[in-house]
Amino acid sequence: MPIDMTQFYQVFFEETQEHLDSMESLLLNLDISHPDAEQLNAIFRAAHSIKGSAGTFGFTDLAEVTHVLETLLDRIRKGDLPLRPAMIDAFLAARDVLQGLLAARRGEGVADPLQVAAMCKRLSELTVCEPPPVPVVAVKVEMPAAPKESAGELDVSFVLDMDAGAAAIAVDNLVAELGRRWTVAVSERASSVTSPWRLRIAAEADPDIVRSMLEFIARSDSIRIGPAGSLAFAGGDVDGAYGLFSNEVVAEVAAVADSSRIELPPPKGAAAVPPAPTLAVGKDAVELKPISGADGRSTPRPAVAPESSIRVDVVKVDQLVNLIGELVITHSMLAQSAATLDPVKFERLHNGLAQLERNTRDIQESVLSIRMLPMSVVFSRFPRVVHDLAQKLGKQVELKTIGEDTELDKGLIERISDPMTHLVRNSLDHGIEMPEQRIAIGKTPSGTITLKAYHQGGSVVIEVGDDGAGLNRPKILAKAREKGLAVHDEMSDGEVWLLIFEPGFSTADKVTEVSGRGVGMDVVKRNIMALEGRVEIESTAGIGTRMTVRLPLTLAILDGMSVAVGRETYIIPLGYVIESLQAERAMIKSVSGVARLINVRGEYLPVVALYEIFGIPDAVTQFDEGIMVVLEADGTKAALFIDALVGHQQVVIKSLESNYRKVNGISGATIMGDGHVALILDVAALVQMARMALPEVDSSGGPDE
Amino acid sequence: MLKTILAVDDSASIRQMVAFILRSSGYEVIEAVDGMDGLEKAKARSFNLILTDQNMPRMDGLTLVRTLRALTQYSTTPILILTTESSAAMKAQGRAAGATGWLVKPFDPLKLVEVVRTIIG
Amino acid sequence: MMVQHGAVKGHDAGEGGGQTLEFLTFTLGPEEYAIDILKVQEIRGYEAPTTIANAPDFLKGVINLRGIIVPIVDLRIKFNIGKAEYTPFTVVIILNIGLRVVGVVVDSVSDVTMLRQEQIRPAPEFAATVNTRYINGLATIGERMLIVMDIDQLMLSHEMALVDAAHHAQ
Repeated sequence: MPIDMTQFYQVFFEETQEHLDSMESLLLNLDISHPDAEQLNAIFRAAHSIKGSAGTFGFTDLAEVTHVLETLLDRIRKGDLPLRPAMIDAFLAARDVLQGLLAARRGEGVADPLQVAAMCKRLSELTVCEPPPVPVVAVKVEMPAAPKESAGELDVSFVLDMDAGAAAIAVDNLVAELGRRWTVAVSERASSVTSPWRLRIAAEADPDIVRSMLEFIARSDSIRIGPAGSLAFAGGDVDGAYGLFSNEVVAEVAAVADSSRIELPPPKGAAAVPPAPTLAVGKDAVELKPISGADGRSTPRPAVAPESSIRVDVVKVDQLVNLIGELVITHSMLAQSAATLDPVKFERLHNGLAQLERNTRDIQESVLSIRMLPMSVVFSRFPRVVHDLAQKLGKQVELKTIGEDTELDKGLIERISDPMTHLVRNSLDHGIEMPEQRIAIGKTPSGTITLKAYHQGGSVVIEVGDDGAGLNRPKILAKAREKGLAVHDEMSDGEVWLLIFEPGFSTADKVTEVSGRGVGMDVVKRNIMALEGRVEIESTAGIGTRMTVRLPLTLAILDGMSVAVGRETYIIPLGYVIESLQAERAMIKSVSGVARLINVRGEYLPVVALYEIFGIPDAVTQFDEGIMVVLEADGTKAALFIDALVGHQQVVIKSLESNYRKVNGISGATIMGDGHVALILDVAALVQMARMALPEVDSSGGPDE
Repeated sequence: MLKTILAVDDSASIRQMVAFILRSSGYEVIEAVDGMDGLEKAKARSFNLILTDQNMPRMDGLTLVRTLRALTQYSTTPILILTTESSAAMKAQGRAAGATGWLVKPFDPLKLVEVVRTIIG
Repeated sequence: MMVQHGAVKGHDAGEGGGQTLEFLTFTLGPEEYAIDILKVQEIRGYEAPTTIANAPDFLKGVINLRGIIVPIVDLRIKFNIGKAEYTPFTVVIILNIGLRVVGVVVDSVSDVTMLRQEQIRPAPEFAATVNTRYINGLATIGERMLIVMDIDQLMLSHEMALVDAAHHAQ
């Protein structure tokens, strides 16, 4: 029965990836001086599982590395070897090598055998007292008294990797080749193509050389080399890979079965001695302690367990999201038509529509939640980033993460990862001080970087905080002047901090490999803006810095406020809205007779009249007759003047650019309940326009007073 | 009636492969993801043979074997342990726990069928 | 963005040897135009679009066409011919230009006409209101003179301002 093993590869890849991820996070969480036994067990088990599966599927390189890794881990968890920082680094490096091998098996990249060998060597050297164990498939045998043993000779067994015709010649050649170096004899010829050949070779033979010669003609997973007598001969137990304990049940069963294939050891009672030598084949005894207690995967799992999840093409989900959007619109249209009907006469219709609305909303929520992933997906990469970078810079950093369960749209998750990494690296590189500096100013030698995610209104807020030196205002201003940027000493801290997002801006004293190349922060900001997000900075000298990124929950749906101007309806993304108010004449101030400001509780904000900049006819033009919506974008506030507020609703975002073009002041479009298109305002651009209209005014003082 | 086998392994790839091979060989196979799951499934119905991995979270193979042996229902059912260890100590433990036999991972899928046939026909 | 310029497909006419192509004809004021029928997705009634701020006057706005946002161009305003009024009989031709969907308002749609390749002759300068850059040629059917328009070229041109500058660069 030919079995296509490739059908299980995908599952293997996925589970191995999970093991590698969990291994990494466990390693990074390990307290080196007092390692937690459960965690060590869990790391061991991850390596062990990969080894077992990899061996079964013939991924010998993966099996080889995990075997060495496992052996070392086993000794550590048993207390034979103390855990050292160098080991953690080696384990992490081994994890990366495994990751590379896995990628190669997946067809992404090429495996480097030298790297594998180097890794095995590095790991082996950590065991100090013992030579490295052989790779998993090379089952070295350490056997107690075995009757057939002839001192020092080697037994070799293998299954040919070719058809019967070529086999005889191949084995003859092999025997001749081996015979040139050592005494060799064929102990048993294969009875069929799939059954093994057995050779016995003189003691001085080098197993590795024998193996390498065998690799040419034999299935590599079938090669067994061990001391003479250690390999099961003359029985059915081909290579000692299985066997039965002798007890009555089995004896009965086996008696019925074809006993020529499995040789049952004579009953020996339950003594802790190895079963009959014909069956007992093994490598160095690795005693497995039964693992008690909780699931070893003690770290938070980023995604749902693979057992209960299916993989779906995102395109399909997006299609579903779009269709639901259409359904929402269809419902609204029906509801509007029905609104004109007599509620008593058409009670059932109205009830039905209400039910439909609830159902539609539930479906919409469910479908959108499919696209949602927890922030832990992003956060999980940082322990490693921080560990590696801290080591490189000679800094001590503790990483704290809060709110990993906060969910975010998959599209955003994927695209926020890189900007986040930049922010974290920046904090570590520029924020956190060297241990000695920290001690000198009375801080703990180890700095803290805190990643925090939470929901706020229709947005997800992600913070990257550090307890480092804080941003250096004079230095940033000096640098800005050097760059020819328009700055002045009266700029608010918030404005000064934002300068670090200017292209080519870097205040690092020396250009480091990490984040001092002067590229990055402007790209970070651009990337965040492209996600409809914004970034803010708070910083206090000597205390630390906090970068706050605000993102919409999803790119597909927007929490919006619909407003009316003339006969038009616009949508303002709610995330930017601070408040809306009816202006009184006294609140309005004019500057140079034209541009206007509004005094909102002592703060003067520039007014953007939408009817004006969009040229909308038949709109309210008296500021005290309409509504002022106070907006904030990029740390700047402005008041948007509109006719009236219409309502608050979630809208499905549609691109204006797929069939048209970018329009200044508009970020997209949506379809309203009546089927009409409403445009979504680009608040950041509008606030910018307001700022441009009032270049000389800063918001701290009141004009015309 | 088909002979039914319970395959317990936390590694999905190995478990699916084992199940596939045995199903292709004419057995009915129920899968369990760890010892605990295996125990639940074993209690829910009866099996002609149980194949279990040793190293698993929540409940390992040896514990599963010991627990099953304590049940009248499974006092004599053949149980094979799949393990990467073929050491004497491992076997002693398996035997003491009450396992019927062992199979070393990595194993040849055809070998598995051969062993299973030997035991339950 | 992939744009098929003048990818006019047709069938062999048999007689005359040349290819026969299908055209949709419409009028703009006194002039009759023909466009490749394969560019036409559908013809629908005019509905008031949502206006777009600071757009050229011929860009009437955008409509919701079964969930996608489609810009509507009034060619009568663009070429300053005909009467730009919107009645229940005003039609919009929905075009597929490359991967884009655009609606154009014309005075009226006449019919679908078969033309053989050799019937289309080069247009002299100033033969029509529309710039000759966007005209493939002229065809005469009895009393009618059809101006065969290269609708792709026109819709993707700078002067229509339907596409971001970045797209022009490609």
